[in-house]
Amino acid sequence: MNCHDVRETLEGYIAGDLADREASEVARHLDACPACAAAYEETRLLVAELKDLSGAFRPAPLDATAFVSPVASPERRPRRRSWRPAWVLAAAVLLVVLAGAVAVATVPSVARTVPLPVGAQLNDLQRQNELMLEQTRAMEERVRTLEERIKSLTGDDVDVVPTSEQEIPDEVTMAVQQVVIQFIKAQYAGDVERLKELSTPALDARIDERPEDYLRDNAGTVSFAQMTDVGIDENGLYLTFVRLSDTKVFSDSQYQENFAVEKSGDRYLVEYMETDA
Amino acid sequence: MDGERQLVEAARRGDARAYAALVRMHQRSLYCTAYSILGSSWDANDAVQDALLQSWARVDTLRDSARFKPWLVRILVNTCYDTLSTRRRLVPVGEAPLEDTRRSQAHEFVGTEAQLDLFRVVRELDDDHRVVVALRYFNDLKVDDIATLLDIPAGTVKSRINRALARLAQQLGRATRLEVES
Repeated sequence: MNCHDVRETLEGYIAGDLADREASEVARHLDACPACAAAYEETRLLVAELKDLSGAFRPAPLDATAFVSPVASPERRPRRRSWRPAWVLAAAVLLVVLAGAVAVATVPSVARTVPLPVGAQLNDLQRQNELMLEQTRAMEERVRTLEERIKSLTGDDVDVVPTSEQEIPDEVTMAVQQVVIQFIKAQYAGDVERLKELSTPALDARIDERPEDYLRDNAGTVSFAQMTDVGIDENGLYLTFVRLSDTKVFSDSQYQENFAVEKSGDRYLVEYMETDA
Repeated sequence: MDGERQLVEAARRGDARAYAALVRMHQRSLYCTAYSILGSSWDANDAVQDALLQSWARVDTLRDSARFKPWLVRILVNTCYDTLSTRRRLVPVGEAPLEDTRRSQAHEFVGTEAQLDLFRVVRELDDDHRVVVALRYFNDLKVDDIATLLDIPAGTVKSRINRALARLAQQLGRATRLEVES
């Protein structure tokens, strides 16, 4: 092995990737060649520094990086419920939120598309809190206006129930998101049995009644664009919206599915699913 | 490593708590990878979040639990590339400056001045070299795994690593002795 060969294999030598024979050849050369030994030392130091580098960043915790929380949920009615107006309202609120680009970052109780920096100074947090409170109030006013507008559009009696302020543990969020993702995968797999496994008996019945509302073109591949943070309504139903696209029908645009998930024993089951534009 | 495999096994069976533990183990290296590829901490944060959501949705399809990290990193890198291609479709209104690594970020920087300098020079590498550095050192991937992930020969990975190290040493004002003068 000459100096050139040794320099080329130094990185692998440091990583312990070389075969024993090659490694011992490099080691012998390093003992005999001060220039290569110096190169080895420098490379070893640089590699160690690079390996430590990710420790220099403390990313925002994931539970602080919610996307968008649903703000409105329909009132739970005993029989057939008309969820539509409330979901429309929620979607409309979402649009307003997205339109107010500056507001987006700082209105956690309504919508958060950008995570808050952790580790910010307490003063900053205090200032941000006051700002958020102000903006939340403004947002509530807009929700009220929208609600009235939707009432006048649909002539319907819209019940708006704000989602609870209650913190949802990561495990629950993930379990709810997982059942929703599995549900969507089953929709695309055209697997009615699986859909029903993931659903409450009430939804099972609706799937039997109108399977075409729940199955997707099974030749396409689905991709998840965005999922909202999980919200909880006053009945303990978990609410989340998913933005989706696929390789067939929605290849150039996205659509939305609105989910309500119910905890049943130690499982989470889809209680309601609605497709939205 | 065994601990990680057990967590992966549990996550594959739908154990959200185990998955959350895996997330905690890998979040920093994933974030640092995404940040070095994308140059924006907020985009990096979104990419990590998306990748973790996707991997949670698909972890039951992972065949070999020992391969969790390369698999997860592949999802992240693809997510980052998607972000970059979306960004290219947008009309640029000016050159975005490299974010100041200390303020208004999606992370808290808890390292030293020297680490800040090192990250800056990593960011200044061209795309091909930067991504191999991120995969090799932030994620501890093997050369073969990087080759598979990027779909390039292992020899190319090795030469990119060597060139990247030489460039970094040079930019940091250190002697560069990886390459022998002919």
